Amino acid sequence: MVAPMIRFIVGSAFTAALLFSLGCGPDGGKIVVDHGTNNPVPEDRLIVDDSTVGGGPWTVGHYGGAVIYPTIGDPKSFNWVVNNDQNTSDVGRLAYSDLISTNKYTQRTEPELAKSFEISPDNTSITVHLRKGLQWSDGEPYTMDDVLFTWYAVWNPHISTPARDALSVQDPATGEDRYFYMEKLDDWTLRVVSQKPFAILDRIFSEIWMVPRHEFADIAGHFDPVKEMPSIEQAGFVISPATLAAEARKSSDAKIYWEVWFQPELKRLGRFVADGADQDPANLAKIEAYLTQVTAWDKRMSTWAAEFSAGWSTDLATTANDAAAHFCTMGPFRIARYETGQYAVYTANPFYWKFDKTGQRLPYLDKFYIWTVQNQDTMMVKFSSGEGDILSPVLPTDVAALKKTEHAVGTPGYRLDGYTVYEVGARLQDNHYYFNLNRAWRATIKVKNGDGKDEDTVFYRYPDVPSIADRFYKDFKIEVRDAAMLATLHQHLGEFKPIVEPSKAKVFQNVWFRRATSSATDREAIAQNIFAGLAKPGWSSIGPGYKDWHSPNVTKFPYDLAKAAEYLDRAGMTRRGSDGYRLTPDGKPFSFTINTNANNEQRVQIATLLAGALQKLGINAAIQPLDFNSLLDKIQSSFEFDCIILGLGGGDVDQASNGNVYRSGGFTHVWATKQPVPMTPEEAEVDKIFDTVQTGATLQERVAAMNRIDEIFCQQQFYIHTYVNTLFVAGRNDIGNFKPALMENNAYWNAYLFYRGEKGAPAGGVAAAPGSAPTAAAPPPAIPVTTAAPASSADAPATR
Amino acid sequence: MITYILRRLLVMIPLLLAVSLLSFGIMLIAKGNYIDTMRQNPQIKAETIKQFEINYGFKDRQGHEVPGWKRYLRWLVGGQDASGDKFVCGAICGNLGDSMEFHQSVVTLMLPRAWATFLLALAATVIAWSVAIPLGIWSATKQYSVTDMSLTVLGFVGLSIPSVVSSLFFLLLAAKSHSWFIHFPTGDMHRLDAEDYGFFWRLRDLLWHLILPAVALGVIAIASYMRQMRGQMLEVLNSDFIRTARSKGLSERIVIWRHAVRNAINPMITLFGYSLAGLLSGSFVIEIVMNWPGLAPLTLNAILKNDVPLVMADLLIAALLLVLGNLIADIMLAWADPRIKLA
Repeated sequence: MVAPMIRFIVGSAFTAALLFSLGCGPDGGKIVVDHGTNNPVPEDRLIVDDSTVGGGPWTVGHYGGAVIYPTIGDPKSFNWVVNNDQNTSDVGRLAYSDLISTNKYTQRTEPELAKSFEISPDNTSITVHLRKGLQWSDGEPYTMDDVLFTWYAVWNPHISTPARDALSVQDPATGEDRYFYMEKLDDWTLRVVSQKPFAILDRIFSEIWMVPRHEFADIAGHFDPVKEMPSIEQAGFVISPATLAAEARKSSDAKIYWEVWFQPELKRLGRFVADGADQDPANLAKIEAYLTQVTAWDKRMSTWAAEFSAGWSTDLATTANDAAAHFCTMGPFRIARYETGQYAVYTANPFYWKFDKTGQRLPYLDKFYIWTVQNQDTMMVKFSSGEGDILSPVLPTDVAALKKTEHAVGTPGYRLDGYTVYEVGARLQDNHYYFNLNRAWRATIKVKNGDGKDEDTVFYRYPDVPSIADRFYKDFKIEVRDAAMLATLHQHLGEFKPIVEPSKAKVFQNVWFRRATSSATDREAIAQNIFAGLAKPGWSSIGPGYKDWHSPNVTKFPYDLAKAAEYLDRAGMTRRGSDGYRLTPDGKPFSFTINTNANNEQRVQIATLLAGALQKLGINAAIQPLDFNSLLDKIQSSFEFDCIILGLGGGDVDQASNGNVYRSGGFTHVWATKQPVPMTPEEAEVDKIFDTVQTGATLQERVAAMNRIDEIFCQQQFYIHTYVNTLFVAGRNDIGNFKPALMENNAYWNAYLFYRGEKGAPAGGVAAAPGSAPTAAAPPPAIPVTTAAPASSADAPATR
Repeated sequence: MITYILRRLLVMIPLLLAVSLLSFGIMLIAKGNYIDTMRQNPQIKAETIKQFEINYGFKDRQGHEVPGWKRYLRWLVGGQDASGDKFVCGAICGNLGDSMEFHQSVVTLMLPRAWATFLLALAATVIAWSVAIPLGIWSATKQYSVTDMSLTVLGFVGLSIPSVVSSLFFLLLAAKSHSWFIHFPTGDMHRLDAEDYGFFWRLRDLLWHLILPAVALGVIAIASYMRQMRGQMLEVLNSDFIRTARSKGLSERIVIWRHAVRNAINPMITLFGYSLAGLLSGSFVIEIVMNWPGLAPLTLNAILKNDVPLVMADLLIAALLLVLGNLIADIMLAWADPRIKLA
């Protein structure tokens, strides 16, 4: 009787498992929906109308309903400070709130939790006035303490967060990042000071979302980083800006402490003296003594950081009761429950501080679901089966299929309320390829490190750049000045090898060669064949999606093989070898490899297209798709590549924050990274013009400067642009105020204004809600697709 | 018996060590680390990347690279905590560390997902075995008949369909079903509003969500179990003692069920032991395609992101299950077959 016994055991185990799984399933309190109609109305509430929130016209809605948004991936943590991945940011934009935020539709800033703000005329400081009388979603008052808490959580060096990167400005003279610091002027006013003029001090607050101080008060044994900072007042030292800069340079932690934490206090106490005036031994000893205290405090900071990073993890929201106990927000929605790997539920924040014109507290929706799916196909299935309400983005290949059933009303009992596919516009992502223009020679040499031990260290030199030919560098641009080390390096001169083979490098560095490959790039074919007509040719880094910054009239090198051949001749590649391929100007055989990430089908297709065109011109180009990590390795650490096809996105719309890309010393200046001095006159000019982009007085002036840089880039073809994707978003017709935008997160940036129309709402327009103006008359926010696109086999454009 | 189990458990220790060493080594050889994907973002500055490298333990506070073996030891044995005051024990104490990406313990992260995977695998196993064993027996008793032939053909079809195809087929079925009278769910374990309903409604909802993935997963195994059972049965049915039993005049029912099946089931128990090991890993493809919130999506993401502690925990648990599965199979075998003695 073994078989029945096994069956019995397995069967009962299975039943027990089922029952158990329900036991630990969604139980532990019901989700309560409360629109807070009886809660106090805050003094400084924001009334949403077309003048305060751009992108309108906005219609007045009514309470109730839910929106289900399927998206790829899980939130990694609800703690946005430590996680900046897409899914965590999606949560942030729904549930959290910042002081000044970028309107995703107009791409300009609007005051959020700040009532108003002023930027000083010299662009070095911004004064922010807080709204009064606001409450967190659990009813606790929102005060200056929360702002300071958030600021100093971001500025804890032991917390790994990219959030602080927006909070610094690059010193044009040294290329060094200078951090901003914050001063509390009074209980409702604060000022953020920049060390160098920076034109976009209002944009830095965007997506620095508020963290509730009261929820993190008890971590690390009630340690309060600000209050327990060693007292500078008691330490009694004075300091000069030069000493401070020297101290800050000692380590990355020291830099944060001195520039952000100590500097405002030193300024408040008036402890700054002229350079050199702080050098007496007594004062230096005081500084030493102070730093000893800092070491002890720093240890507690690291414990605090570890506990803060682990806080607000997703497992704290697995039941409704837990979520209510652990999470409170200032945003329109609060985290109500997270079902591991499946979905997160958000409910209206009963203390939200935005109201509509008629005095209703926003948001209108009861619930907002973010539904985890594994891939784009499942996302499409969920939307077309009526289970999901928004599909963002719609793949080019799916646009035609979705268009066919647009406006259709589905099976009774299913929420197929009819939908519209919107063409939102050109995506804020630049797709391009570039050649390796790196001129560095490098060698790995054993030198004594700080502890006196021999250590392999990589050194660089630039023998073919006359002005710096006899110097040595570390990490590309940090000059070696130590005499003993220089002597060692001179002994090893023969070991330095060029990163790019010289005869090949000379070809890449020739502008006519780059113009030739640009002319050999059939952008129309890429847009029409690879992207089924749902992409547009790309000509510059700043595509048409950048409302304020796009410049349509840049120099273009359209597809023309005859011109391309002419350019190659101009580049000196007139002679051909016995195999029919062109030789380098100095008569050597020439071929190069195109690398791209293998999981991006379109990029591989572009590579094939390009290699085919170059073949016709007599250029031998091989294609080598790599996995993404190997590709990154080439771009970031080995620098051994010829040509790479890639995309770049995710930056702010305002170009002032993209210094890393445009300045010749920047790391993301990928074709020749971290240059100690600009390698070409054009790059030198761009460096100079970029100062205006960063510090200019008016937007017009800065845009004009950026357009000049754009033109230089296009003439030089450092980046050879290929295409710009068109963004499509689909949404149910009965979602009121649905207004997809180009900036993340495209579809529901204004979710607090969404409302669901009546049941059986007419297809083809936002359902008219009681008391709202008919929206049919108003122009839709984005042009619905009018032409059915041809089907094609193109796949999802990877956005990394 | 107990000494035998203890001995087997002791042997597991070097095995798991070797598995962890191998997986850590492979993760080291693979290009890049968790931080690399951030480097390409122009918004993230070099300073921040440096800070990340230090905080995630790739570099020490002085900025020197921490060699791979030290990181392995840190993971295995443990090391100083963030402030450097306390010693935190590593994997040998069962502390598998925190995920780099999720900032929570890998165990709390994996438990609910492992549970979903286990449930799916169990349902699939129940489906597979309850279909495969009777079919195998039936097919063996009717050897070379039309039934046997058609079951054999079906078996080979089932064997040769990859799981990715069967799961896609069932996903398509679910998606299409929305225009029929039945609406199969396209993935997940619960409906979004499940928490608003009572216990039995939720049980029904869970089963309803479980059916398609479980069938998709079970179908793959049916064929091989059925063929295995058929072969075993045939071997037993052709042996002398069955002829003796028949010649004694026992009814066919008793011959098959009491004499043949009991002897043929032994190798199946071994097979069952192996299938336990597959419980957490076997449904990898199906979970991803059919949107089942199990370990697979988590692991895949962890591998792509180079989230070392999470990958390590996953591999270790898979290895542990394989070893334990074998042990359980051996014990079950000893229990089912009086001829086998474990010592």
